Amino acid sequence: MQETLIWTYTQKEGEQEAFEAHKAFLGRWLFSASKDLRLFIFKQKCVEFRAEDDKVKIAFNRRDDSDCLSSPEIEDLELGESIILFHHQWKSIPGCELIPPGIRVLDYSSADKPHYGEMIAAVRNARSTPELVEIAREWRDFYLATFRKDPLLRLKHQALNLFAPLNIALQQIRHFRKEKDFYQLQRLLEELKEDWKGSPPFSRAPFSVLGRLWYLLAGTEVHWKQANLAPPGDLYLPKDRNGEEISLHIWIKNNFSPKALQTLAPWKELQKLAGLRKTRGGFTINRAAGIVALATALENHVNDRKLEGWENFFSRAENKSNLPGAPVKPPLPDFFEWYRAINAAFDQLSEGKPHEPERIDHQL
Amino acid sequence: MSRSVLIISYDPLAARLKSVVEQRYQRTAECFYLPRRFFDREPEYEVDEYIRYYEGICRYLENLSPATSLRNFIAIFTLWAECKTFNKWNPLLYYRKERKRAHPPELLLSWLVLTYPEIRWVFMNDHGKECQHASQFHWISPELDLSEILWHTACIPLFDPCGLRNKIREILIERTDPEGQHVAFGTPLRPKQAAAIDEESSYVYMNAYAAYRFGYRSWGINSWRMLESAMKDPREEFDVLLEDLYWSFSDSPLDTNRYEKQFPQEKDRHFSNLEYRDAVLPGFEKARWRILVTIGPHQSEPDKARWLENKRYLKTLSSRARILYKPFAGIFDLWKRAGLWNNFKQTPRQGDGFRWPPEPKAPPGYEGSHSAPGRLLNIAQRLIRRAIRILERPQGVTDAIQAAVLALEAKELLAGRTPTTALEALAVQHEAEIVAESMFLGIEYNLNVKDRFRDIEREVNFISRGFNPQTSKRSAINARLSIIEKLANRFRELNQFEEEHECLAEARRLRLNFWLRQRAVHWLAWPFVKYIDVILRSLGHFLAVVFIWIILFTLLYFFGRYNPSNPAELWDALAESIGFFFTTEQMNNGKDALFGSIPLWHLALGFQGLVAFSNLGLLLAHIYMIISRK
Repeated sequence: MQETLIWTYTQKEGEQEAFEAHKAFLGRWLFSASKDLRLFIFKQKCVEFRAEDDKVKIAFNRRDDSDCLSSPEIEDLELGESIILFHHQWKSIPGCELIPPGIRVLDYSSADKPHYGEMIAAVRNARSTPELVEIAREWRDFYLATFRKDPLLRLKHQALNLFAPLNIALQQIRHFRKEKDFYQLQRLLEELKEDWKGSPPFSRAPFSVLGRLWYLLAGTEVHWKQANLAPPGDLYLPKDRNGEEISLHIWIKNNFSPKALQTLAPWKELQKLAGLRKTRGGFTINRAAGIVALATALENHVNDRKLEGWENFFSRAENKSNLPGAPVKPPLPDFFEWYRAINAAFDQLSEGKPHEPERIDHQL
Repeated sequence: MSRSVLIISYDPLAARLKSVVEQRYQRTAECFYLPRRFFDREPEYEVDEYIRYYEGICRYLENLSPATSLRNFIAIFTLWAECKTFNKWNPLLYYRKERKRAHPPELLLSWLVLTYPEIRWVFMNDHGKECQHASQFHWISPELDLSEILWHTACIPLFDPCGLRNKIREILIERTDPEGQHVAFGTPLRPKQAAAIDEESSYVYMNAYAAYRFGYRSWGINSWRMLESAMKDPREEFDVLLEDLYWSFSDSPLDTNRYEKQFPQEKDRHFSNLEYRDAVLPGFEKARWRILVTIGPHQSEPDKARWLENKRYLKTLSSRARILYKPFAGIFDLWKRAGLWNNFKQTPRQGDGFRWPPEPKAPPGYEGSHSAPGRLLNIAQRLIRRAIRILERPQGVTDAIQAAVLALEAKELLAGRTPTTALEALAVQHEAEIVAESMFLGIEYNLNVKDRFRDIEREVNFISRGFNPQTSKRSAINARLSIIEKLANRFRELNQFEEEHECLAEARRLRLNFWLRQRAVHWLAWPFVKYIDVILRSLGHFLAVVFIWIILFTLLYFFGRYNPSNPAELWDALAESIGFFFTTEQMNNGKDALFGSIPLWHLALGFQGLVAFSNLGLLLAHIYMIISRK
């Protein structure tokens, strides 16, 4: 399928010079060697968006301006899915608010250091039409990746932030146990009990925090009622241009093919780590998942202010030392490894490589 | 060193961290809360929100007393920050609101790092091990393990050893304004690093500051743990090492058996044996310049033999080595005696890639405007204000060095733009430096101020190019005068009499220069004013001028009143000249004419009387001043 890239430039000194060095190529279609991409470069001041008969068109107007001669090759181009708009400060274009949410708009800026300078230099130094198209492709990909990654980065940081207090608390518990400072451990457990008071979705207890992670990953697609839970209301999910919240699942759907969605290893790993299970109509909670067990066990342990039994949370070696013949309890996952694995899975998604994230060798 | 920890975070993470820091690491911890959405990277389309947070944090930090306490602060900012390319750390980034482009939170971090160089800023590392090696003292590992950060509390961030501020500057100097001009051109970079190693904090601060001032990111090392962390990695390359020969850190390792094979004799396994030092810490051997700052060899064994052995060893190294004996006469003297000095230009040799003052003529596209970008100006003003506050009551060398770095940072960020503020920064920097030098017992009583005057002249000339070309010379003289008068006042407070006197002499010269440029008619008085200036520079000048006068009058009398064909009469002429000069009494030798003219003789007497009277009056006043001040 042929993609269309509309690239507009402004009157800025360096920019104008760079593009007008290729005056012969401006205002007409330029094609890549394999014809998979066609490019149209025009001055931004000559462009506007217009709604006609439920359709939004990009129009090349201002025929009164000698800089904006009408181009017979492109008149009233209808905005469709295969079009990518690449503008300098796109919000300054008349009618920009009409652009349908499905259309990808890339916004470059002289503030994008040091990339902006590199881009303008590349345009200035282009020697042929195919080279110019390839430069456009390269920068389209660069900005697509930048804009694409932004919501993912936010989701990752939110996920890590959710569990950061628990991570620090567990480090403290581990330290007090090692130091055999049970007085401090008891005080800490009392503090945590106090902190974790309240019922989901408003509590800060591990299980409620896990609920928030589910919301980040799958949003309203989680069967909250079925799990006897309510979706958390205190999270800021990234939003698309329509103001709709984007969960990680929606982000992946927007950025990967449906087939990739089924096989994308980091995404599968994230679901597994978080204790989510994909069903036809959405996501359900896998109550047998290690992290669910860990969160529940942690809450119980803290609520009971138990000073003993913490070895189950930290050391698998200790778990394995059960007496022969004794019923083997399913080991709890090591929280710190789990935290690292969540981080790694997000990183691999960001790299866009559907390869396996670093395996963690406990039972989840 | 006792460190306090400031946790800038959200609830409940802040509370948890505070508890860990206090209980596990026994540090005082305070929390400063920001909204959770900031840490969750909720997009901010306007910078106003960040400005609000910035002002809030600044207010908190600046209300802490004393101002120098910030030097002992570790600020843990629990934001997952980009640390791979630093592209988001642009302190001048600005998108108009209507563009709906989010400003990254690193924007706020970059402001804070530039405003508080004395604080060790610590952030959450978003890129794993990749960043961990490069600047391990600023990043919490992705596993949130605080031990790396809180064990290495002796790290002195003031001289930017890890290059965090340098990274921000790299981004900054690439920034252009809407006209495509590089707005921060001239802000210097420090690509090379140096280290100052001594167990005494004052030497560490003084030497590390000298290296920083002359263009190196610099490690101030006064603990074994820090030294090991900085030098153990053979990949670390240092351009300059200012190292003490005899050190004994409080945490020095007692186990020296690891190098038994290489150094079989126990007496050789000692860090004052340079060969052993280099074997244990490979970072030393690769340094380009090794400056051994020492009190000199002990006259007893085994130090005496070790000293000779070290000298022999230094000759085998590819590094250029110098031995510098303590004390020295200030920062400039240290650099000069270290051999890092351009004797022809009389300028310090700067680190490679560092250029200060910047090129007076910027390349096209880099000229910029006379004004610094508003955000940088704001940061610079804060830095200067805090430096002044510290200088009101400095408690020691380290306080003064802290003030000097703050002012230096302000000066370099402005890079000569907004000249009045840039000059203020320069003045405060020099003031802080002389306070540090004067308070430091490891520095000679008499300081090197001549090189300082040259340095001030170079920098003022650079900054003054921002003034109107017709008045820039006068502005430069005026600025130098103000700075040197400030230094004179400061020397007076510190009882550094000779230095004060040199400052006053320099100020007088500048004042004369300034006065002459005010009106053309003033040039008529030039000889007289210049004469006064010369004789008041020093007692030596004074005596030399008196001697010249006596010789001149001797010759005048010899040729006008005696028989020039009889050299023996020269003695009479000399005696007459000296006698009259010091007594203003005419010698009764029966000769009362000059070149046969009585009026001419009276005129000559009158003139010599005037010269003698005025010079002797000034001489007495001068001697009185010296005696009374000493």
